[in-house]
Amino acid sequence: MTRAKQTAPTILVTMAFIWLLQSCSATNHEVTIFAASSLAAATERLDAGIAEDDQVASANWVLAGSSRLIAQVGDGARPDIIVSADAERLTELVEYGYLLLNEPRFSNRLVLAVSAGNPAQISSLNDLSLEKPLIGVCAPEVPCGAAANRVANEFSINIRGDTAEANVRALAHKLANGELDAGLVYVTDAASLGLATVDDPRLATNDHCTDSNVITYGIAALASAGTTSTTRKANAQMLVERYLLPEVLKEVGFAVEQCP
Amino acid sequence: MNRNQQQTRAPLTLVLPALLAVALLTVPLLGLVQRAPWSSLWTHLNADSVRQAMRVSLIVSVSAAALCLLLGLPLAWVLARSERRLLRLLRALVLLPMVLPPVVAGTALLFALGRRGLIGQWLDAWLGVTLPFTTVGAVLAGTFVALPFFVITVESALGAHSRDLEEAAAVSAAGSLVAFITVTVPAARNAIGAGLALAWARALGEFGATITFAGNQRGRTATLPLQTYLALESDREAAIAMSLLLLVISLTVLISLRGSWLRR
Repeated sequence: MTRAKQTAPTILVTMAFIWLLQSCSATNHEVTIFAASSLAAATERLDAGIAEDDQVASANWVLAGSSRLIAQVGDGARPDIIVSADAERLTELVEYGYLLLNEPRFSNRLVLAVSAGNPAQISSLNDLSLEKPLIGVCAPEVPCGAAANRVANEFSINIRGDTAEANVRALAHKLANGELDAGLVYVTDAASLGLATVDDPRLATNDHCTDSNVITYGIAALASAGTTSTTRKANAQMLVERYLLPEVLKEVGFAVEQCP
Repeated sequence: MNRNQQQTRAPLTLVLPALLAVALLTVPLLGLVQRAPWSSLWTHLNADSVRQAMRVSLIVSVSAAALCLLLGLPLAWVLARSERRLLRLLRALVLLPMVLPPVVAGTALLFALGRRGLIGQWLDAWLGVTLPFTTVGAVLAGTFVALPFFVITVESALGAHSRDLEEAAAVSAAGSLVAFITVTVPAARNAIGAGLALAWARALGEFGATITFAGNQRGRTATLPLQTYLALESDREAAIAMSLLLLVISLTVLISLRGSWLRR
């Protein structure tokens, strides 16, 4: 075989490889939104709302634990919008060109959910320390687990979790399947999966801004076109408002309101 | 080999993708090593949560490997000895967990052995036994994914060669179970050792089926891979430290297998 005959396939293979790399990173016209797992309950209805406006590109949702999403940006991901259940850590994203936005300000809260028919007869938060029933919480590493810890500390309850799930969706599904008797999940997940909940006055909403069982989402958007920081912020804000529709968020069970 | 002594120059068309393949396999490992927090490695690995996870991982993986031996050795023998068509189907079924996504395996286990599962509901009603969220559940998840590795490694060693041995033993009037234990098993000890090591390593690294079926509780079902995954949410250095530990264990298993399994 001569050199020339060998070179042709080599070039072909190389070209194919480059093409493959390019098609992987090709930009499309979707808007990528990294969102906390707890937004799973809302994406379908948000998509429907987004689709009503012909001018707006569809959303490509990436759902994962909030800390993981922030870490992915550190590793090079550049979603257009990030919705995190860990609002404080969003400040880390400023160095990557993200703007922190205050609108819409929405929050979620933990409720005591039980499996269908409440076979373990769970009646209050205190029952989460009982030996017999199978109890689930979120792992303390993720925001819903951190909130569960805050509740346990505030009311001095020893929550005896049989499992500390990696995300709130996994926990809610295990309650829906009857594998767990009770657990602390977000009100939105309980609603979207039709989970029965037990009212405990300690989990009732008193103050959306200070209750220990409430988590408030933080929003960041990639600083988009604009010459001044004011116009960039206004553009980013406009982008976010096209996707995180407050009316839909309210419908799904999030609380949408301002804190002082 | 003698006929082919003279080295032919490999065409660039093959060398280039081969090099890319090597890069694909090794670069991520380099990435892990490069990000390792060497100075605080010991502190991370000595943390309570990590030591607990190591203990759970050790218990779960060793038990799973033992179950693989107990159940897999007879199965490998049956598969090696019979040529019935039904058994060919069975072989495909046995290998399924190797290609099945572990999360699917966990979901399947949940639907079979969970509290509302096909068999699990009776275990719960009659015996008061619930397998999910227990160490036993984690062992079952590990065994489910590891068993095929043991079975295919051992099956090939129990083929025609050892049949002759067993037949010879039968002629000398040993019972077939006795022949199996005294002749077949010793003859296949290298393959059994390799199968055990592979099954153990697979069970040690198991993640998807475990978190789906057995949940995650410290000291009970939270194994090293689960702890690593969760640590990524809060403490990346700890996650990298645990990843390195698992990498070293995997490498050790591979190197120790070199003699019996990797040599061709």
